[in-house]
Amino acid sequence: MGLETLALVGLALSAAGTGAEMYSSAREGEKMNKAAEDEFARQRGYQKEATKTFQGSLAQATPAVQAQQQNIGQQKIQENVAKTQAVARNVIPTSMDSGPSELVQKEATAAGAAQGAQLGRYQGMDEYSLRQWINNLRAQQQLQVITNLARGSEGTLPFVLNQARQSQEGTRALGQGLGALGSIVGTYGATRPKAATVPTYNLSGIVPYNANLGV
Amino acid sequence: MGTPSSNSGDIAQAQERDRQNLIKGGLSQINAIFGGGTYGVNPAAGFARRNMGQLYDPSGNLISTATSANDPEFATWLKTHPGVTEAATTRSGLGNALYHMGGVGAPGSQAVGAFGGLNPFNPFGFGEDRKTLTPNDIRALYGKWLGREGELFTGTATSPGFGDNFYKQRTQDYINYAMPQLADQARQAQKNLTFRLADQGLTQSGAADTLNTSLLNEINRQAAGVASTGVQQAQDLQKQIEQQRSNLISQLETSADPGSATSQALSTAAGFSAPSVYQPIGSLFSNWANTYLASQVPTTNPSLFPYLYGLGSTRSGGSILPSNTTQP
Repeated sequence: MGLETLALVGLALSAAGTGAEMYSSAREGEKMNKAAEDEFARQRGYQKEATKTFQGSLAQATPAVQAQQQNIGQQKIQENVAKTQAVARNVIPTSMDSGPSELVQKEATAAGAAQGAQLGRYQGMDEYSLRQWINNLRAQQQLQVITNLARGSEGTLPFVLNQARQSQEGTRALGQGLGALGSIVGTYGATRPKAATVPTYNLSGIVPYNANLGV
Repeated sequence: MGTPSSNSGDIAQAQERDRQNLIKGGLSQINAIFGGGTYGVNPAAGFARRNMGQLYDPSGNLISTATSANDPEFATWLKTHPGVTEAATTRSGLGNALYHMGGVGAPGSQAVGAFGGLNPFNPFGFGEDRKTLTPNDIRALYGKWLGREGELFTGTATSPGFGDNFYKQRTQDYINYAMPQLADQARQAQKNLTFRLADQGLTQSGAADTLNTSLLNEINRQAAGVASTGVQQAQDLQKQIEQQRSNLISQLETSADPGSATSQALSTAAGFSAPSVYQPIGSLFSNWANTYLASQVPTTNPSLFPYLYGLGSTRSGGSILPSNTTQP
């Protein structure tokens, strides 16, 4: 093999090595980008879920819902008060001789109903307050779980990127090996003593054309 | 290439998937226990591979074999899970699995690797390093896979939960407990009033109407108090239960151990379902009696005020004042 050919082979090997390295870098970049994109997609999913949870919680905190919950609480109190007052009043006999008259009973019943309504309006707020507290607690808990899952998923990204990087190490090593070999061959081809160009002496006495014999 | 860390990303993702499934499965169970519904019990991890019987997810839904055959995550797990890496990366191995799952390709041998047979997590069974996958094997693998993630159970249970009816009943329970006491006391107060009025000849009088009205109002007030206390007790209980549910979810998030969280949820739920210990309601009409009967009597019965009528007595005039009146 001629020296020029060696140099060319070296150059070709270096080029192949560089190409292989570029390919591996490109593939590695693709894989890393894909891994990152996948993770971003997952994070967007978590974000979407969190937004949905938050919006759902907000929808449960509107004045209309507040009024509804307060009304439920009011009704609950009123119903129970009416029930207990009726039971309690029934133990009191009504007669002309002893106990309250019917009129007194009626007045007391009306007063009791008014009292139940007032208490319901007042204590109905407790129901609203309780339901809002539960709503907030659940939303908060749900958001906490979503955050936990999102962080866990995010935590795997460095490992996935590392795997993507390592996946092309073989190709890159091959490229580096080829490049190094090409470099060696090229260097060898370029630096080896040029045996082919060393003047050759003709023993028959013919003076080489480039030999200065000082004659 | 072949180094232990070359699939670290896949392993990390598989483990994270497991963790998330554990949390999601545990959440389903806690929600079913507290909110009412069916949930899976007895995790299937380590369950006899060939005799799995019926299997359920955390929400108590029956999982069919068809589900396992069509579960793409399972196939992914086969490819990526550390315990079956070598088997899964062998094309023929996966092809074999697919053959048994869906009749694709041809059956073959599944190799788990030189040390696969000694791997305690070997899905083909401890000590087995080579196996032709049958439909039962696939089903067993699927079971183990889900079981590891806390997603597979061999039975179901149903929890009544803590819904509106539970709290309504809790209110009613308190009312049922307190009202007979209140009724007894009201009856006694009314008797006392009747006796006093009769004793003073005031049964048919404006004073009697006033006193009867005041007693009925007091009865109404006390009855409303019982109702209010009942509702309040149910609300307090609801708050405690929600707080406890929240605590269990926090524990689940930290531990990713649905078994522990679920057993705690069950014991907590059982504790809250048990009857509360109610305190006696006390003397409800003592204030009324002190205010009206005690003050009424001296002013209407002259015999009790001899010093005013020249009868001579050792009684002091202080008794004419209601007990809740401040004396100098």
